[in-house]
Amino acid sequence: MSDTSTSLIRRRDFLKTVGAGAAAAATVAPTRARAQQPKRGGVLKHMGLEPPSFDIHGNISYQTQLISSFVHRTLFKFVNGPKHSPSDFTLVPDLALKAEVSKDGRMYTIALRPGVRWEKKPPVNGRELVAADVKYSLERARKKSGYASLLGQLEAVEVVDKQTVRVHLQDAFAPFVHNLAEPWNGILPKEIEDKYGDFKAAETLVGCGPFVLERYEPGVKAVFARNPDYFQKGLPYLDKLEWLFVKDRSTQLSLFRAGQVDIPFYDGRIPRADVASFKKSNPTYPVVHWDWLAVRSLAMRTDKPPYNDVRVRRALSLAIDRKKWVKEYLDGHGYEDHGPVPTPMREWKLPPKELGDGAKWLEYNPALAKKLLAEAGHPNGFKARCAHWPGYGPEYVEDLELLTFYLKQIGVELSIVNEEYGKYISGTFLGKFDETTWGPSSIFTEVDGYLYNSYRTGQPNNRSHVSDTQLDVMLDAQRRYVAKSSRKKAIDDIQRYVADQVYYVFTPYPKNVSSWTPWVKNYQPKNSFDRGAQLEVVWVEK
Amino acid sequence: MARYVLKRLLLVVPTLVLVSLFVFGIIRAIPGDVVDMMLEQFQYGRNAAELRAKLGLDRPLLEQYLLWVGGLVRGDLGQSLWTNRPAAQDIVARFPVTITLSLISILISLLVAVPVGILAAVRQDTAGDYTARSFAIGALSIPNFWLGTLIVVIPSFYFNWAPRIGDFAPLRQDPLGWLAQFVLPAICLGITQAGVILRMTRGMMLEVLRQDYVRTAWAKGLGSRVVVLRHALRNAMIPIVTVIGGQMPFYFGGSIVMEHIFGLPGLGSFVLEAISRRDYPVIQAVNLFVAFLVILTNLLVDLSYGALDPRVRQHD
Repeated sequence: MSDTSTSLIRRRDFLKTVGAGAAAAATVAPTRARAQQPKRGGVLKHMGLEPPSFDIHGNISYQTQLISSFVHRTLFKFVNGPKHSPSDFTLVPDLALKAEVSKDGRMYTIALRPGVRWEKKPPVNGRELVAADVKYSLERARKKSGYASLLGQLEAVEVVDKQTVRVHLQDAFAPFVHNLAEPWNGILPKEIEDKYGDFKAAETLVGCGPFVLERYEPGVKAVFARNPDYFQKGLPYLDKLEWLFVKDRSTQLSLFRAGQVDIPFYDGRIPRADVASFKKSNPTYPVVHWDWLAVRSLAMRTDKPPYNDVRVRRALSLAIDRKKWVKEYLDGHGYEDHGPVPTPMREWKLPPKELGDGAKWLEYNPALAKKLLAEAGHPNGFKARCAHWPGYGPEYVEDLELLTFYLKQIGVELSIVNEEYGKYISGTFLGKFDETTWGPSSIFTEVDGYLYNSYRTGQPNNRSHVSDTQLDVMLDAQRRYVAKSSRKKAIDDIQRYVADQVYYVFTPYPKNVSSWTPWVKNYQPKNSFDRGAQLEVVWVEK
Repeated sequence: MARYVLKRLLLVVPTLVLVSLFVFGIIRAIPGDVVDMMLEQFQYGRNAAELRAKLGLDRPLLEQYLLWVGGLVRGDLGQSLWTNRPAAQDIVARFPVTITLSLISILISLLVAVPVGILAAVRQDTAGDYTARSFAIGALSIPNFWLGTLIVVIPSFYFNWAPRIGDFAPLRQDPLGWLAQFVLPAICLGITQAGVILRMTRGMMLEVLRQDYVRTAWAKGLGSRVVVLRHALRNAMIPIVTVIGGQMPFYFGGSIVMEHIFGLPGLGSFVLEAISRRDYPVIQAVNLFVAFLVILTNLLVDLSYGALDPRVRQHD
């Protein structure tokens, strides 16, 4: 095929992982796994969250993605296990063995893994997974998913033969293959929709993943059992997995302290404020600090005064002593992150010294901040309201109070407006606020999520109401560069541009702290909602 | 008596209509629109107007209300906007948890408050009385959510022990386990109310014990158990029962917090979730259902007066 020759997403790089075939597909054998013999059996009790529904295309809730990933698998997946960092998003084959992209970046040919079977449950009854399933799933995602735009402009999905699918895009879209590994892109069997009408109910959770849904008790838990016909021979190690829906964070941690659950939150996190006491009460439990990808920022109505004046935005940024914040408040376990790309995304992140003019707005310089405010017509500062959802947790509230303290030093008085979750998530989080709001971003595994969503004119998550034609052009362009080096350059330019414009004021944020029971082996926190891939390599050794 | 019951039953209808109007109006007054949430946060659709029409939220409020009431008359409590499941189905599944928690809480309140209240009255101004009164004030002052959190957190911190939570035992499979998982949340919920009932019991008993007929009973040489329990307590119970009836909304309301802390799949945690998601039909259905239960409980309390006080029956 002449048009699929030498340009995969830096084709050689990509083939190293994705094209390596089934041998590489066997989940990464972590170093510790070599030292220790994996043990089959046992039950893992994992704190989880109850999803609003089980349809991965019907909503964009990460709660749905977490739970469905045990059952629904994707064409590719990210590497997992202690050998890899939580933010390592190297792709390895899952339901597909390889993907080849045409030179123009508009056509992907995906070869499926042969011999994958759906679970032995009506209406699929253990039949083989075929190219038509992929076509159905991608077309359904394009039609129904809130993430459809992250598949690029999907033109057509063509079944070449039983094991090969060809995807045609209207325009090159760099994150395409990466996004196939996201749990919202799980491959679904059409028979389920034919039978039930949709995938909302728990009984529709029928797939070809490492686990099968054994029982769902609304408000209590979902119990998964090992899929005996899973295509990864020997996996998963666990007999059962219980996903518990305890909502109260104090209760969650208490159950974990008592050894009643093995993993205390959906990603193993324990609140920072409880770390010291936890180490006392459970000295034998591992405690790890790990990379976190949710940047925290003050979003402003940049379409209105005073925030439409870049001098005001720069002044707010200059008021924050990020170094001290991390060193003293976060005990060094955090990032002075200037956003929008989180620090742990090392292959894309531009360090401050390479930001050019924008770097100086990251320094702590209250005198310059006051000078800029005066120039902008606010010699005595100003008052502003900042909408916030306190339910993120006390640590976030403390962060916001610290930000408030810094801004007060330059005469900007933030009054915190605590909002109830429903109002916050359906309004403020989507940019419906009058002055400012502060909080964490969503988590993305692909750099585009941090750029396009936050800065592109008209995007619902563009909380600062940025509308900048020059930036829009740059944002659109970086999506089209299939060659990684070209894309990297474009993304570097975007980072320099937004650092100078300060459309958001990014504040430092901590690393996550996670723990799990000592008898859980080969577990590693992961910045992804694909719990299926993460837990299929975990075993319990009591 | 029959006419009285009928009259009270007829009053249930306008009360429920008022409650339905209030609930319907108040949840729509909460900031945060369900369509925005479904569309932009959870991507349940692509077009706001289309989604609004699909959910019937594009109609005038009065029409929406009348449609809902029409459904109620036909026994249809409505469907969840998020899952399409009938609200009645979830209420039926979760109500047993909430009612069990409430009943055990009431039982704990009574078992603690009534005997201690009687003793405090009988031994007025003794150390026992002061202790009982201090306990009552303490119980009233301690927020039950704080007590619940302590009960869960403290043993886990010091002894690596926690009550069985998040692993709800169904009644059929494990009757004892099922009952056991209600004990701690019921203690938290019941102990606060025990303070109220204890003070009421003590006060009423003191009042009754000063009555002439009680003095007569003492003078006749009757034993203290007979005087206190048969003559005095029965008359003192009427206001106490009234208080218990009036506290039913508290028990239902308190169960929301307790179910959240102790991971119980009851109506409380269910409605809390529905409120945060602005699931109007579910909030309306649960509130109306709980309102109906409270009205029914109050009716039963009123009817119990007749059993407690023959004068009520004779008057009727």
